[in-house]
Amino acid sequence: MNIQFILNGEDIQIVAEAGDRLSDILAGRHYSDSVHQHCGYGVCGRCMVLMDGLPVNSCLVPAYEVRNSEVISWEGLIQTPEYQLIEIAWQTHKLELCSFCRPAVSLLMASLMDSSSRPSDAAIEETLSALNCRCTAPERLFAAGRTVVNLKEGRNKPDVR
Amino acid sequence: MFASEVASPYSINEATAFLRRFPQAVPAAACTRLIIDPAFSKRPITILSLSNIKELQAISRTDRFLDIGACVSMTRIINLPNISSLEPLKKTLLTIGSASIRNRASLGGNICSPDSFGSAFPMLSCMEASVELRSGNQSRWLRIHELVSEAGRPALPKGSFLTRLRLPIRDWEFSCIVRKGNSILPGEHGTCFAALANIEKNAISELRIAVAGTIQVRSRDLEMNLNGKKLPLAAKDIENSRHQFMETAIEAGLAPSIAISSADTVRAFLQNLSGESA
Amino acid sequence: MDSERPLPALDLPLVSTFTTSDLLHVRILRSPVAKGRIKSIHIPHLPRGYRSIMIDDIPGSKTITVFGTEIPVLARERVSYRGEPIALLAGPDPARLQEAIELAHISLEEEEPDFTFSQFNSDRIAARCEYSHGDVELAFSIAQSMAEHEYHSAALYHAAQEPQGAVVWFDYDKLTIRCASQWPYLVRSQVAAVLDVKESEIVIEAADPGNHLDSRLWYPALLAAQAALAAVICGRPTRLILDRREDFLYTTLRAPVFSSYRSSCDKNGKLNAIDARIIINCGAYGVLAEEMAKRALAAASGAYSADNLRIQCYAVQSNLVPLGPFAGLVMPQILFAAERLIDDCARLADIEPVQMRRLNLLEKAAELGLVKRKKNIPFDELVESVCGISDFNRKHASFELVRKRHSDPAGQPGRGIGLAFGYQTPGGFITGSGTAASTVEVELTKEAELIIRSSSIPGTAGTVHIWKQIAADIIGQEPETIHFEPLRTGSLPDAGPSSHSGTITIISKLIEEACRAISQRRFREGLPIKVKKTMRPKNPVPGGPVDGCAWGAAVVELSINSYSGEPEVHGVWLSVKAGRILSIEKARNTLITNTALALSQSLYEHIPLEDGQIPEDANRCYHLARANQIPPIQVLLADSEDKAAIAGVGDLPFCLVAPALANALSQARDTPWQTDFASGMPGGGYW
Ligand SMILES: Cc1cc2nc3c(=O)[nH]c(=O)nc-3n(C[C@H](O)[C@H](O)[C@H](O)COP(=O)(O)OP(=O)(O)OC[C@H]3O[C@@H](n4cnc5c(N)ncnc54)[C@H](O)[C@@H]3O)c2cc1C
Ligand code: FES
Ligand code: FES
Repeated sequence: MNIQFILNGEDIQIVAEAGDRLSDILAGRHYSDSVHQHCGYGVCGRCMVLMDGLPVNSCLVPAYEVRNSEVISWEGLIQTPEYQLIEIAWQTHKLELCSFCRPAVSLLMASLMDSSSRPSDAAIEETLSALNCRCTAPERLFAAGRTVVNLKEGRNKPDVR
Repeated sequence: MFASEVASPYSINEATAFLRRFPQAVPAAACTRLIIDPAFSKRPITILSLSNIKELQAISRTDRFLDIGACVSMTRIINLPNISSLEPLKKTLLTIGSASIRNRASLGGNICSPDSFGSAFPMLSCMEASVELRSGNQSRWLRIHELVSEAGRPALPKGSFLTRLRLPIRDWEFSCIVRKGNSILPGEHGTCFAALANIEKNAISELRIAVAGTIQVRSRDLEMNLNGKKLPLAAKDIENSRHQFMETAIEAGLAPSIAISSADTVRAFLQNLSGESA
Repeated sequence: MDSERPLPALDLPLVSTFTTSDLLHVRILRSPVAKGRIKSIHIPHLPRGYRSIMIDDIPGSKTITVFGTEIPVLARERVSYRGEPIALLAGPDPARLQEAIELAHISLEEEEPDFTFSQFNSDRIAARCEYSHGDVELAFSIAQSMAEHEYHSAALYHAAQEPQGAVVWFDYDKLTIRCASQWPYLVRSQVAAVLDVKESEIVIEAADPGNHLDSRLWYPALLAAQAALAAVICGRPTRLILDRREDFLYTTLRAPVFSSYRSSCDKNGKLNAIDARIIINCGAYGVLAEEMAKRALAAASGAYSADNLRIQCYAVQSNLVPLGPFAGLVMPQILFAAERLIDDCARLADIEPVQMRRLNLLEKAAELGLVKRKKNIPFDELVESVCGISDFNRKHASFELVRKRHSDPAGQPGRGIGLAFGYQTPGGFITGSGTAASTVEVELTKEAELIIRSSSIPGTAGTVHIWKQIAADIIGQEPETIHFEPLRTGSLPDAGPSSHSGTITIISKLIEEACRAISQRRFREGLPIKVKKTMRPKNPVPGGPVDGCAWGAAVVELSINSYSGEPEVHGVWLSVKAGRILSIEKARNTLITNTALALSQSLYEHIPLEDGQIPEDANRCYHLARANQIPPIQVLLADSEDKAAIAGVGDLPFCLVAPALANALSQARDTPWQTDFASGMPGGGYW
């Protein structure tokens, strides 16, 4: 089937099987090498993209659901000013994310900045736990998440908890 | 997922028309379950995608009920403000998948799988939710337990799809939600236990207990026996209730280890009611 | 060939992002049974451009040899585990290959497989060793009482970020292979042997292994050999990447261990006899069997000893996938049993767990026969600090009161707090398996960039940062100006296998020495300056609680959720002393991260067994803890001792968390908890 969608601000038109996974399209056709399909069933979170503004596991999105939607992957996110804030938060908390997860964590953090109201600490933790990180102390990840939210709100005080 | 054909109607009428023409079509919401279902990885299926239908995304509220469209995502429900009666359901939804899965996964999709009851089912059953089904030109309301066959299995009537869920607005003093087993998807090794209770004048005024995986178990006899009982319950009553629930569950076909651990949870819940009231 | 992608912390490329034109995919046709004799293989007719590859297509060696063990590249007559590779299918469309795999038929004469390992015939023993001093039988015969204990450690999955795989392409006269291996030179030698070409014709480009927990020690050599074989036979670049299910079911898992002990102690709690029998299930082929058995032997009594001691260790083969290396290479399983044993003995003798441990600690210069120590074990320092921050003594005493009073088994379950004490040995292999010199070359370029070329693969990104920091401090430059050159075989000599946590000790020292040399020459000589440093490790490295170990104590506090009946961990405290510490902050971060992983393993990561086998959908039941399921973790790190040796700390949480948790669980449940999985097997039983 013909599928049209916006990827990182660009119109994309592809032919795909209706049931193909978005992650296969993005990674397999090299539209977005930051999308990793590591588990293929929604557990690892390394295939994360923003779809119509929300973080979703692209391995769980069938191609037909992508029609007319707006998808942002890490490649698109790094062009935005929000990404600078995310990097500041990482540096503040000395977060050393691995190359497999850096894109997914960035996208999850970007989604925290997008919330209409300030997300609670529990919501920040829940959102960031959508990525199954095996290499970072959870407390640091969460602290960076809180900092991102603070920075976005113009409270340029990194979270020091 | 091998989707040989997909229809994505924009209205309920279009959807019912399609389902009439293709009765074998599989209704789909966000597909977070369908896409990982091994049964659909090779067998070609015709998909009736419901995600473009606006009405199925709506949430409305009256004094007595909250109506939730079948395709409303779990995240939207979790983020609904200020409805204390929704707390037990919200707690349940938070145990499902992850935040990014719940951003798409629908409540309707959770309770409509023909293979097993989604994790929200037992809590919805305790809340005595109703569901609106659509087939042909007709829409009808059923109580949620009518989606359970006599054998305790999922029984969504063929040729129909779910359009709305109706939840009574009603507060619960005591709630309990426990996931049992390891499996990611609900099934024989992945069940969910739910219980709700209210207390009035130091007696149990209402009690509901359900557990569901491949089959659902709700022991109404037990609930009736305990309703109206003065608190604290006698140790013997608690032990008998545990035993009664276990027997019902085993008889219904729940795996013995899950039946035993569910019965233990019944006991703990009743002990907690007794303790809190004392 | 990679497009722009996030900067990898390890500066290493990924396998899955590699692409090139005319790439062929490779899929593996696997044995449907665990043990049997192959009668015939029928592969459906493949279209043009597709090809099947069988054992007779292999031009060179039909096996790879890893740590002295031969493993078939493709099975010829016999299969030894379910999922063992039998043939390869290569072609442009992975879906077509999958279809062909499903239509293929393998006719086998099935034989009765051996899965269990607590009982075994002598022909299944891959390695055995034993040690004794004193006379345990005599000691038991005169002891007032003797207790028997059994402990089980289950298999675990590594769950590294990227499933295993290899991509192969032709680069002029060389065959280049990218794979995430901890030992690229092993990959090179084995591929060369299988293809029957010179090693110099093969180049291995190391890929990012992720947080591999030692899953990449040897298995990538098998996949690389298979992918390279397909590339050479088809004359096209190939890509063989397992999906998550295959990675879970058919690569290596942690070796399960069954430990049984008999023990007796006097009325004061002094152990007078320990008789240990330790059985390691090493799955098919028995890779590293001797190494694991010897490590178990040296560690079987933990940090303790008894006047009469007998230890027998067996590494036993079975018809499960090859089982073996996993962060700490069998030490966590052994120390789990030892720390459970000392706690159970304390309970039987009605002695405080701290006191019991102190009483039976290996003393300065005490001889375990296997291990000679000159230095004191920092027991008091570590245990006092961890008990202080966790309030262990008070809580333990009060939970004990509740436990002893609690007579109604149907009543509310309780709370528990558990202690564990143990060590991580310095890196290296006891048996000298695969030991070779490690080399580091450091170059200060004309542009004043520092390039480090190491033949070892770092365990984690954190390790790389430590190395960069060491160099930065000595040279006086920002860490951002320091780069690791992606490793390609041929550019540096073989460093042997890099282990999850052990590599850091050696490579850090070499980087330090090389940078010092550069810093001395920097303003006297023109740039570039290149310095190479090599270290030959002691061969073999002693195992057990030797001098130079990193030591740690852990406390875990939990309660049993009355609704779910499952433990809920409230806190974990760790106190660690690790000689010279290069970066306190990084070491602390590693300890917290690995404590979180160890908790995930103990609380959630469970591989079920059905009739002794791992069910085909087991990966769907394998939960990994999410970040918000991890309780608070507090780490106390003793000051760095500048004159001491550098000891890795990464394996310590794997050695300490599971026993501390099981000790807490034993108190909370009022029954000795015998396995390192906190929920136990559904329906009972053990791995
Ligand atoms: C990693 C992971 C973890 C998960 N964890 C859980 C869990 O803990 N508990 C749990 O219950 N589920 C879990 N799921 C499964 C799934 O995500 C949820 O059940 C989700 O609620 C399904 O919603 P959906 O909108 O994606 O449904 P879909 O996948 O679109 O549909 C699910 C089923 O419902 C039917 N269906 C959907 N909508 C309708 C309708 N309106 N009318 C009639 N039939 C309909 C479909 O035909 C299908 O059989 C998990 C999935 C993943 C990937
Ligand atoms: S690949 Fe999508 S969550 Fe793992
Ligand atoms: S950032 Fe990748 S596993 Fe942690």
